[in-house]
Amino acid sequence: MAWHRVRAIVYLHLLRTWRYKYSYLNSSLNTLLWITIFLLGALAFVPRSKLPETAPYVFWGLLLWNTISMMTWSVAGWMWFFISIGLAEDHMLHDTGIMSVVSGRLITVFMEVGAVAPLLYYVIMYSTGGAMAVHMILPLLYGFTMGAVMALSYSLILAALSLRTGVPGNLLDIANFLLLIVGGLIAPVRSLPWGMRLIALLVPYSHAAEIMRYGATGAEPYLGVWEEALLAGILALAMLTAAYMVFRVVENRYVRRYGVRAIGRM
Amino acid sequence: MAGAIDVMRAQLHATIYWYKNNRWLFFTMFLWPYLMVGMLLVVGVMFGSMKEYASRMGVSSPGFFLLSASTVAMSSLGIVDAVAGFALYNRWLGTLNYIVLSPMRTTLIFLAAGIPDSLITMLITVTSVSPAVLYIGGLGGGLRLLLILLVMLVGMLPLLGLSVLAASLLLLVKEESNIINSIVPFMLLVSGVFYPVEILPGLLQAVSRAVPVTYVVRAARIASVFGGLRGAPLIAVFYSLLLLALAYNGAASLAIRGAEERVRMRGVD
Repeated sequence: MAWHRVRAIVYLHLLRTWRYKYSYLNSSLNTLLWITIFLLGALAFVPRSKLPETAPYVFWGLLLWNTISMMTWSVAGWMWFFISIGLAEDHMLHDTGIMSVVSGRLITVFMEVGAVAPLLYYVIMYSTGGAMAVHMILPLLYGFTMGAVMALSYSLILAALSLRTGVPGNLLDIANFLLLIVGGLIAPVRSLPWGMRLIALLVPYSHAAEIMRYGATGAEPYLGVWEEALLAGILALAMLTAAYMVFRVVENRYVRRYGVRAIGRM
Repeated sequence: MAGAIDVMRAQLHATIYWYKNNRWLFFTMFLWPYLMVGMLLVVGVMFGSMKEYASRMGVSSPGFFLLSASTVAMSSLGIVDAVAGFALYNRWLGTLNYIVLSPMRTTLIFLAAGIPDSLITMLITVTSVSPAVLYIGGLGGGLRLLLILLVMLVGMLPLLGLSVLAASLLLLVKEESNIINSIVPFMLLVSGVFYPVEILPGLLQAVSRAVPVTYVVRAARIASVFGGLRGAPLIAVFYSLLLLALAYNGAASLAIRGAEERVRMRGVD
């Protein structure tokens, strides 16, 4: 893709975030509130004496999970808006793939999460007596970024399917909740029961989460630091390639031939 | 001239056909409450225990409480989305201007259009959790769930008013998404939907008294103490919800009138 197109897409999403600033603020607030609701719900099971050591695990797990969920809404869900106001055809006529434009939503998600995560972390750690400092910032950021790229790829696949089926992509997504439960997002893979551990190892997100947890708390990843980091990178790249291919097939073989379904409630 | 009943009937038809055309979506609606409860249960039990949760919440059946709380959460989401989402979606489609220009009051259209979706969401969530509730609490549990459904129906009245207030704000701002959809998680946060409200700061506890969902969650907590149902607190819940219904619907009627006039002067973006 030409460099000027990348610049145009980045500019588009930054400008949109500025112009729709109330939507951006609302979305950031939404993230903050949902994480807090589930965090407080989960911590209500934990004895008070164990709160300082448990809170960081639950916080980072929920943050990654929420980012994955937000990505689904911001990418797959946004397709609904994109199609409804007729932007899909317009971009295709200007020789710009729908996937490239929609991928730029990654910027919005990062800005939304970045706006609330430090504040929420501080408040939660302060109120539960947990440690304020993280173990190592680089693995934390790397793990989070790889998780976000995986989530983007998954959302792009859902968005491509929504072009074909007409059902908003975010509504096709019921896997998010299952991910948190069996995907090794919330608790260290090492601490999961045997069966769940096997499933978690098969879920790509768990490797990103293990690196993230290592950066946040110093908990040793199940397969080792470097191995998990490498695996997370390879899996993120593989998922992105798969998303690209699915999108190309849907765009070329279906959308260009039949158009998109955009009338009514789809 | 078309009346509120016609709008409700039309919206009901639209919703039924939407589900008919999106069977997968209809199917997933039954799964959401279980996914929500499952997530909290697994995470909670992984780091703590059910016993601790039951003692913190003051309930004898944490499973029943979590199921009913998730029903309340899903229904609240559904009600606000039905009304405010109706305004937003018609703006996307370019049909909002016809709605605002129609002879019928916009408040009434928003309310009437929101009722079928709200009721359907509520019925789906209650139906979906009922097998688990019957398994946990037997016939008594089923009857308690019906009681919670009744409280939710009364709780829908102030929530509809609140949603119309939100929709009137949506008419005034030029944004692509529902900029006030954080109102639902905020209501759930202050109502203590999955945790005791007492752990929140004093200010949020005070705010929670003005939030309808707080009273529905309170009713769910009362119903989750098996062995005997306390009547007086339940009656207090009903009265509180009716008072809030009067307050929010009155405010919504005034707010949307103002928004409607401004939109008619300025046009719909």
